[in-house]
Amino acid sequence: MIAAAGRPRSRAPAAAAPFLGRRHLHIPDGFLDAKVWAPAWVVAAGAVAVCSKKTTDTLGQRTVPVMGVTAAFIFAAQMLNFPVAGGTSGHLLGGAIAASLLGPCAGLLVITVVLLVQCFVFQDGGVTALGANVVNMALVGTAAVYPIIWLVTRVVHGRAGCIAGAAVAAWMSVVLASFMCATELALSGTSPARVVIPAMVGIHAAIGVGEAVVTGFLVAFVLRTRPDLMYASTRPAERRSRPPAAASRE
Amino acid sequence: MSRKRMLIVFAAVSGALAAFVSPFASKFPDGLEKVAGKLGFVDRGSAVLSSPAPGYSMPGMTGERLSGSVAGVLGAGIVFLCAYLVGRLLSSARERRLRGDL
Repeated sequence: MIAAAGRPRSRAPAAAAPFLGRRHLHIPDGFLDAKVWAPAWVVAAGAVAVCSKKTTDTLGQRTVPVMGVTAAFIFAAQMLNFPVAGGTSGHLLGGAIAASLLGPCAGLLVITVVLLVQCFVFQDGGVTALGANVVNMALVGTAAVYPIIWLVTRVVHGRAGCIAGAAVAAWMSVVLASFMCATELALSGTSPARVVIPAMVGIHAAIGVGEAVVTGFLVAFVLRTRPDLMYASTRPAERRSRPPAAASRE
Repeated sequence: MSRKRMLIVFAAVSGALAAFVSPFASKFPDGLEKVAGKLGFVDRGSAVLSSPAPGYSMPGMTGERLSGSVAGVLGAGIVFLCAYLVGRLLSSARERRLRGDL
C-alpha cells in the first residue's frame, strides 16, 4: 500500500486512478465523509466571502500584482517536494508567506486560488474535499496564523520581529493544518483519531521546520530589498487603506 | 531594486522553479499519502471529476519530466492570472465605492 502511495506521478490519466494528489495535506475525494466535507464547504465559502469583503475595504491597486506573483510563487514552490525522514517528502505550503506579504484576508484568497487551480486543473485535492482543503490551508494555515506574526512583531520590533514571526507562523501553519486534516479524517471515520492525529501532526512537525526556514529566508530577503511589498512590515496607512472619511462610516 | 523589477524577478523565479526544479522534486509520498498508506486508507482516495492535466502531467505528452515542466509553468501562469484578476476585481470594487462615498 505504501508502494501504491509512492507511485510516480506519470501514471496519472483515467479518472479511475485512486489517489492523484501529490501535495501533502491536499485531501482527495473519498477520504472525507459528506457530514464533514459539506459543512467544510460552507465554512470555506463563508471565509472567502468575509475575506473578499475585507480585502475590498483595504486593497490598493499596487497590491494587485503582488497577489498574482505570490500565488504563482506558492504554486511553483508547492511542486518542489523535498525528502524528509523515512521515505516521506514535504514541500512548502506557503500560508505564512502569503499572510506576511498580503495579510490574512488577501492571503487567504491567494491560497484559495492556488487550491482551486490545483483541484480543477491538476486533480490535486478532491472537489468534494476542496472546502476542507480551503479550511485547512487557507483559513487555518494562512489567515489564522496571521495573529502570530502580528503578536511577534509587537514583542520583537523591526526586521527581526517580522522574520521571527513569519518563521513561527510558518511552523504553526503546517502543524495546525495537518491537525485539522487529521481531525477531519477522524470525524469521517476514515481512521481513528488517536492514530491519525499523532501520525499526521508528527510528520508535519518535521516538515514544518523546513517551512519555517524557507519562510524566514524569504521574508528576510523581501524586507532587505522591498519592505514596502510586505503587509506585515507596513502600517495600515501605507497599505493605501481607506481614507479616514470612508473608514469612519463603519 | 524597483518594486516592479522585484515582482518581475519573483515571477521569473517562480516560472524557473516550476520549469527546471519541479522535475527533480522528491517522488517520495508526501505527509498525507504516507500516513494514508501506513494506516491503510490510501485506497479510499478517488476523484469525482477528471481534470485536464491530472497529477501535473500534460495529456498526450510523453516524457515525464518535460510534461511536468510544461504543466508547472502553465499552472503558475494560470494561478498568476486568476489571483491577479481576483485582486483587480476587489480593488476596482473598492475604487468604485470610494468614488461613490466621497
